[in-house]
Formats: sequence, C-alpha cells, structure tokens
Amino acid sequence: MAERTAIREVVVVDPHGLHLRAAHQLTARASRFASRIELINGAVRADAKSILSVMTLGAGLGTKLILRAEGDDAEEAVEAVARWFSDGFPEEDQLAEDSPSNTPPVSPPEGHSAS
Amino acid sequence: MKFSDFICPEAIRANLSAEDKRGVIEELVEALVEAGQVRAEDKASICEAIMKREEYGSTGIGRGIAVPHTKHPSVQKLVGTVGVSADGVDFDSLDGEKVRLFFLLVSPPDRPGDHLRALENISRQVRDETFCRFLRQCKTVEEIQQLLEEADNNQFVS
Repeated sequence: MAERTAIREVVVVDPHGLHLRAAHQLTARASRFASRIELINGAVRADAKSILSVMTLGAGLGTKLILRAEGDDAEEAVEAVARWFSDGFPEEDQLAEDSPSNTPPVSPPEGHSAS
Repeated sequence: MKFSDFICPEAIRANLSAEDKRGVIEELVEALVEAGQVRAEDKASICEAIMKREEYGSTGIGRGIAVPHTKHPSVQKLVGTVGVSADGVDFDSLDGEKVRLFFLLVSPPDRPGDHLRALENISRQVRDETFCRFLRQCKTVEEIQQLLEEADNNQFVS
C-alpha cells in the first residue's frame, strides 16, 4: 500500500527568518505527527523534526520552501505546519487551543538583578 | 558563510573554566572583549541579553552543542567565538545533555540574514560527528583555529 504524500509550498514571513527559536517550535510541532516531514530549500533537504537539520535551511524572510510529508497523517501534518508558517511562527502559548493540556508554568519575575 | 566570516580567532577559548550557564556566557563575551570585538562597557549588557534569550528557550540544541546568541546594537557586524569545555556545562539543553561545544554570536539588530547564515553554517558543520569529536578533542586555541579552517575548506561536509 502506497504511503500518503502531501506537498505544499510555504513562505517565511517572519522578518527574522526561520531563526533558532522558531526552528525549535517547528520541530515540536512536526514531532506530533507520525509522518516523515521534510522542508526543502533548493538543494538542501531538512528533517522538520530535527532542529539541527532545520537550521541548515538558512531560511530568511521571503524564502520559499517545499513542505513535504509522507505517512498516514501526511495531509494533517502539512496543513498544521503550513498554517504555522503562514501565521508567522506563533509560539506555543499563543496557540493554546492546539494543546489544551500544555499549560507552561508562568513564574512571576523575581526582579533580581544579577551582577 | 564560513567560520572565518564571523568567528574571531583571538576570542576562541579551548579550555573554558566556567561551570554554569551564566559563567560560560560571561567567559566567552569577555573573550570577545579581550579580542577587541566588543567594548568592555557593553559586556554586562550583552551577557544580560544573552541570558534573557536563554529564558525563552535554551540554545543548547542537543548533542552537547549550544549556540548562545543575541542581537545587540553595540556591534556593527556579526561577531562570534567558539569555546570548548572539557567537563561540560549544564545548559538546560533540549536533550538534557551537558554542553561541551559553544558557539556564541552577537549580531547587529538589523542583520537577521547574517545571523541565520551563521547558524546555518554551524548547524551544517556540527551535524558531522567527526567534526564535533575533533572539536571536543582540541586542547589549544591553535588546534581549534586549524579545525575551523579545515571545516571552511569542506573537509568535513561533502
């Protein structure tokens, strides 16, 4: 039985590009899916579940990437990751509806000024 | 972008003495000060900015590697350095491992592209376990400089 494949083009709309923190968010999102998920920038192919791999894309503002997923949840994976791109890399806590069980601890600043 | 485009050779540290996150950051920023890459009066502000960035999520990206960084208006171009810790430092890494290899970057706020290209270069090189193993084994600044030069000449990445 052939695996399901989904492909879409995504664009980096964050002025800072696909920076390290965004790359971490991306890998966390991609890892929720069973499918193999790739991002392709010309000759560079990256595993969307590996932060080191994603950083090798060097994707700045306006970079167009091919998003490709292979697996049983390929369409859902591409949909979720593409939306995350078009929304400009929202952070986890800005998308509380994505993971209602995930409530990051918010500790009040202690006002320390380390010297 | 190559290491030689953003790593200041004089600021490289082969034997980091710091034993915690803040200590390592201060040691590497001090190295940039001593190398004349950042002003001494900006050191505290740069260290604070890097620590602030760490609060949003550790730059310890796993496999014993961290890329602490910040934008800072005091620099006119991207400056960076490399540090190696023999014992490793707890850096709240994504995989929980201690960090032995540090790539610290300070970039001008208006040059996000350069910062990305530096990260791209670092990521590409450290994905090669041979490069990481050699870097961990470096005992002197000269050995690190030579290793980075070899990496720039595509000795590790095909």
